[in-house]
Amino acid sequence: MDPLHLLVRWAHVAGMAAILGGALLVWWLAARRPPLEERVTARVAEGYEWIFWAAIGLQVMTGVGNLGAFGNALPPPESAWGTKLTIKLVAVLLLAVFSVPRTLVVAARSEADTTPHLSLPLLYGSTTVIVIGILGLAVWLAHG
Amino acid sequence: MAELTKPGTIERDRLIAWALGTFHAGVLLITLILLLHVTGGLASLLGGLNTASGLALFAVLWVTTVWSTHRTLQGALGPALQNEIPIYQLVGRAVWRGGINGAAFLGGAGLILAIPIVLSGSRSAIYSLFVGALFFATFGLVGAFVVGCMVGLLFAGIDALLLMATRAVLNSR
Repeated sequence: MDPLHLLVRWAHVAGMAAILGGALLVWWLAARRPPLEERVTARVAEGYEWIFWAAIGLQVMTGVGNLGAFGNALPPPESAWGTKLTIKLVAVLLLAVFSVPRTLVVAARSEADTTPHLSLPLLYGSTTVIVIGILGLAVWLAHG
Repeated sequence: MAELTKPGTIERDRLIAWALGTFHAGVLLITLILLLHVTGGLASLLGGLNTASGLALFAVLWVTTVWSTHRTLQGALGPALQNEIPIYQLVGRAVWRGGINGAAFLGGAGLILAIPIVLSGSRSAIYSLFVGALFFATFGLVGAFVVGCMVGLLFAGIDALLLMATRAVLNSR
């Protein structure tokens, strides 16, 4: 395999691992009982949001790179594979739209530098569920 | 305006510009890919695009979009994400910055696409590139500016809705 395509695939998988692993970590920190020191959760969530959007940009870039490897041989939209790709692209769009309010909530709290918002477990739990769904679609797509 | 000098607010605005800029660039590209895919035009486009050039083109779009989002949002959001400037002024900024972004992206894309042609050393190809650059520098930039303005307006509307949703979450406690 072409080294560039290999690098693109590795970056795509690494980006997904960062998105899912980080969401799980912040969800756990925000939901755990007894709660951790309040500022720690807020700081970790803020750090995650920087990494999340870097990884989203990387996912889009490398995702198109992965599609580029198909070239003219890309299956048509009516095929089973093409339908799965359509569903995955719509799911990624939904994740991006859902993630903007989550980032803004975390950013608004970081400005005040006070307690994390009560909605954090719900926001990060929902992010984790959506990302696992996209991961399932990606595995389904990779196996034809 | 005193709020803007607070370190927390500066850091907050950087994060928001990073998130919204990446959101704009990513959603724009995924939407275009999705539309091309469902209309059956994606395979022919991918067949004619080099992977390294494709990666570099998105990187340019990403950088210019984050930069223009950062300039649009400067001083626009106060405490608890409330508007610091009138909404019509913010929309006007988004449209103007969208246009600048479109022109900046076209310039960057032109450079990326020109590099392999210049490296090829072919005189006829370089001549064609020169003629193409003249077209890009005039009609191309105007077209990119207009398209950028429209995309900026569209994303200003989407961002306003997402900001309203965020305020609803923040007020729900």
